[in-house]
Order: sequence, then structure tokens, then C-alpha cells
Amino acid sequence: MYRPLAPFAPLPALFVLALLLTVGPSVPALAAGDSTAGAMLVQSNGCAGCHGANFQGGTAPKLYGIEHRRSAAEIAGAIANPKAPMPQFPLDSAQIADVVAYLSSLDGGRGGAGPVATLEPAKPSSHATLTVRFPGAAPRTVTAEPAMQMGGSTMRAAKVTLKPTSDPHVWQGTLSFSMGGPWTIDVTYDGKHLTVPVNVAGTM
Amino acid sequence: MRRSNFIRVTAGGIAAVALTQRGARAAAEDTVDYTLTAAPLRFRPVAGVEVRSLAYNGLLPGPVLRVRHGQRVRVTYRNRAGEPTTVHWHGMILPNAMDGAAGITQPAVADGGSFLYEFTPGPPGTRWYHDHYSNDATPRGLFGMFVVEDPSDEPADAEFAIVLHDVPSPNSMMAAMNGTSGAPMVDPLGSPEMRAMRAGDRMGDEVGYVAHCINGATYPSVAPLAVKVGQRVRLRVLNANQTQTKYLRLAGHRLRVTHADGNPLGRPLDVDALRIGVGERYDAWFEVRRPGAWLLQSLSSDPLAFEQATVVHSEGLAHATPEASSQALDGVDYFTYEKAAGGTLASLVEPAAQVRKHFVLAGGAYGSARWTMNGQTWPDTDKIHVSRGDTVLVRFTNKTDMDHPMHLHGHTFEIVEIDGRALRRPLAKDIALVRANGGTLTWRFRANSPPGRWLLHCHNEIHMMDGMMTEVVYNEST
Repeated sequence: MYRPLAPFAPLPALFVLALLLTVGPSVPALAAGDSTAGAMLVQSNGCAGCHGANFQGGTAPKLYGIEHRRSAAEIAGAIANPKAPMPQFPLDSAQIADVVAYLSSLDGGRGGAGPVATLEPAKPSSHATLTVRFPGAAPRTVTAEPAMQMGGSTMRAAKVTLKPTSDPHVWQGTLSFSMGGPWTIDVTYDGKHLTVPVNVAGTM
Repeated sequence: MRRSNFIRVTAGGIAAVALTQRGARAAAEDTVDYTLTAAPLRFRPVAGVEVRSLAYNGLLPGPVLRVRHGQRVRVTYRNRAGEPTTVHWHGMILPNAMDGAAGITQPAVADGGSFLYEFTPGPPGTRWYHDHYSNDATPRGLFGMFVVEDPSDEPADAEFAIVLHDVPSPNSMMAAMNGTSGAPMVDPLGSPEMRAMRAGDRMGDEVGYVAHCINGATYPSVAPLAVKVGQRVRLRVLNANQTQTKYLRLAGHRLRVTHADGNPLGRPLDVDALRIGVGERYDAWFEVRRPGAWLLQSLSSDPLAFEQATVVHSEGLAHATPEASSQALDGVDYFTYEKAAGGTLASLVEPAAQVRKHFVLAGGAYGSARWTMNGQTWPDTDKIHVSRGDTVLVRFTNKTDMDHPMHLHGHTFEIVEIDGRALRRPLAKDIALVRANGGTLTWRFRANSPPGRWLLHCHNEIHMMDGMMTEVVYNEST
């Protein structure tokens, strides 16, 4: 959804939160964001354009594993008060929290407890191999369903059941994309979800 | 009085492109001399990307040519491109022999050859020039803006040329011509292009682009637009991408559109974003109300296309963090022909006309290299024969799943109908998008241009090369 930001309006809630965070441990932490919503925001604001296809860095710094190098408040602050040439994106504090949650989950998160999805190639044309590594308990079933938002409707590609490799914590499957564009892959494992945005190129 | 074209070269290409008025001292009877030399260029739009391109005078885009309405130009064109080329003066009404349509109005200029284009540019407004040998030299770099100053225009405090273009992947151009490219759909989320897509669609004719430029450079190295608080700023915007509709937005501002393809609108229209079809130009104004820095961005669903952006900043804020817009179009009020026309009337009363022609646009099946008009491809397409003074109605019905930017050489037409509805105020243009999946559009124009053969074609380079082209032919006796 498009939410216009009043020009030059600061993000007061976030500033207050950031201030509170520096005061002491008794205050609530930065609101936990929704990484699925964050994945969509990261895609629709074009973050990978500068930070690289797998967020491994490009003209702008690497974001993969950022949660080990910066606190959530620092990441949020860098988005809310960016340094040029990084632009100020039209995100409110809740959306920034979503983006922080997503970026902090790319390598499994702080404890390394979350699943990590990788695509080979990172910017596929028609097919890609999806590998998901589950650091905790090995899941029983894993499916992946690519979808692309097209205006009001959603186009879905074939849902794929991933198979465990020789390592029961590592599951793999081959996805096919019927056309280029901004896709998201909904990975479902034992009733839980992981969203993987991917930009599908054509045969170039 | 003669003057040579003066070109400022900077690292970023035709950076700055602050357009200055030529001033009253240029009298209407002046002739302006330009020399344009087309030659290969190793173009580096982004670090690590180098593409064999073509350029006029070593610049990509070519230099902004600018005259006052009434001045003549004498353009010495030198072709050193390594292949045949011509120059077409898009949007100009000029002698047919100066139109630059290879094989129609002149033989192509061979590599090493020259051609003298001499005419009085008009009508006034934002026009452009590009190759017209019907190969892919335009997307490879042979294009530039041509401004014909209108003395009746309100003066702007600052004026900038904004040329949008993308660098095609050579392989995908070839594949697109064969209808098998599979290149990505990169229109912004929420756009009519995305909404028109269907689940089974296969992308055969999309061209894949490896870099996305404004004035020949990518963010953050595009020269910024330095403005001052209180200024009213005029942007002259050209979509020189040969296959994709563009959406352009300036964060924190509404844009006031005053001209479409260089022709004044009946009334200015305020919008959040421009929708700019292939080859279209829009003049859009904004007022700088407070200090700040904002991104002027082309919107896309491809994150790599984020680089098609530049900064607009007020004094002293060249290094400030620019405010960005969302890349999605949901909820964004963008330019449409209908809005510019003040809406539509429910029923269409077809105007009187001496000549009527209806074209069904079809073809473009996956794997096909045929885009057709009434089932035919160029040169076997139906021609439109006119006598001088005729009123001509041309109607298009688009049965394909892609929009078609239909362009007529040497004339300004009015859009009088869209999808069965008459426009309240006809819109004067020289190129117009016919909506995909059953869209219709009707042009009306007077056949009062210099006699000759004037091409009418889809300006999507792939569709044109695959045959979606015809011509308006003036009868000999006229």
C-alpha cells in the first residue's frame, strides 16, 4: 500500500524509541517487525538495486548478516535518517521495523536459529534452485510457492515440494518462473512461513 | 548570424543540461548551424558495465539542440557509425525530403557519408531526433532532444532536459526480434502494464536492459538539478527507451503538466507522476517551496532500475539525503490522456472526415517475428492516401497484449477517442499509446503538411522492425 509521507516530517515515534533504547533496559525494545511485510517493502523500494541481489553489497554496503554488526535500533536509524546518496524512503516507523526484521533474518538471525534461503542463480531467468537450511530441528515438510503481484491480482507458479538433501537440515527444490519480474517465494515449513523476494530476469 | 552548437561535456554524459533561453538577440531569421557526427562509443553507464554503443558527437544522449521558433537549422550530418543511418526529426513538420526516413524520403547515409538537413523546426515545443534506418541504432544511442522555443510560453526560472533511456542487452534485442526473449516485466507494481498481464503470458518481445539512465548516467552519478527556493522549474522529459513505458516521479512534489509531445494542453494538469510512452515528451513544472533534496525517479519493479534517478536540490543541499518515492504505483495519481483531456464523453459522435482508416493491430505471438496492421506487415500494409486539406481519421484496435506507441511523421494529430469514448478536449500529439487487450484510439489530423510519404508506425523498435508500419501518402495532384 502506498502511504505518502509528509515532506520533511520526521519519524517521531522512532526517534523516541531510539532515545528510550539508549536510556536503559527497562524500556520496551524496538517493536518487532514482520519480516514477510519487510520482504515486500525491500522489494518495492528497490533496496537490492544498490545493496546487491543477495544483499551481499553493491554500490551500497552489504546487508546480509547486518544484525550481527548493528543493533536493530541502529539499522532502523540508518533507514530513518540515511546518509546521502542513500535516499530517505517513504516508510513509517512500523514499516521500518518490518524492513529491519526482514534484513535481520537473511542469515538466520541473531541466534542463527531461523532458516536461511539461498537461490542459485541469485537473479534467475527461468529456473532457480532454492536451498533452505534449517539450523534447529529438521522440518518434516517444506514447500515453496512463487507468486508475483501484478496490480490487483497475484500470479502463482507451480508449488514445489522441497526434498531433504543428505543433510536433513538442508532442503532443496527447483523452481520455475513463467516470466521475468518481481516474484516472492512463500516457503512453508511445518506450518511456518518464510518469504523470499527474487527478481527474475529474462534470458539476457 | 550563425552559431555552432556548444556542448558541455561532463563525466556523467550530457549532465546538467540546464536549458538556457537563447535570448532575444537571436532574431527569427537566423540560421543555426549544427554538426552531428554519429560514431561508435564504448559507453560505461555503471561501473563494471561497458556496452558497444553509438553516439552523436561522442555524447549519449546526443546534444540538446535548441532554436527559437522561426529560426532555420542547417545540420551537417556525418555518419561514422560503421553502418547506414539517417536522422529523423521526431515531431517536426518539415519538407518530406528532410524527414530522415531511410528508403522513403532519402537513401540511408552510408558509413563515411554525409547529409545536409536544412529546415525551419516547428511546431514549437519539446521535440527530438533519432536514427531512422529501421535497425536498432536508436536504442544503441542515436537519439537526442530538440527544443523549439515557443515565444508565447511562460518563462521558467530554471529549465532542465530529462532524457530517460535504458541500455539494452544486445542478446535480448536479437531474441526479442525473434519473439523469444523472455526478458523481465519491469513495469512498476500497480501499473496498467502489470495489470494487463495474465498468468499464461510469456514474455517474447520484452527487451532486457542492463543499465537504466537519466541523461546518460545512473544514480548517484547523474548530474543533480540545482534549484532555488521560490523558483518555478520546467522539466522537458523524453522517454527515449524504445520498448518500455516509463513512470517518472519527483518526491515531495506534484508536477504540473503543460505540454504533451511539445504541444500545449488545453489546461495544465497536476499529477503525482508522469506516464511516458515510448517516444513521448512531457513538459512538467514544479515549484520549489522550501529547502530540500528530492529524488526524481523513474519507477520500476526491477530493483536495478532504482539507478534511473537523480537529485533535485535547493541551494547548499547538494549532499543532503534526498527524499525518495515508493517504486510502486498503487494510489499514485499519474498522467493519462483522459485526465489531460478533462475526461471523456460517454458516446462518440464520429467527426466528419474525408478519409477514414481502421487498423487492427495484431500478431506478436510467442516465438513470432510478426506484428501486423490488418494482418499485413510492412511493406505490404494498407496505405492511407490523402489529398491536401483532407481531414483524416485513423482508428486503431489493439488485439495484442502489449501497448503500441503509434507515431505519425510530419504531422500533429489530435486524439479524439479512446476505448469508444470521445475526449472532452482533443489532445494534440505525434505519438500515442494504444492500450493492450482490445483498446481503441482514434486520431484526427488535417492533411496540410508538405506533400510526400509520411511513415506511420509503432515506435516500439521491435514491433516496427517486425512490420508494424504503414504510411500516409499525399496524392500526386496535391
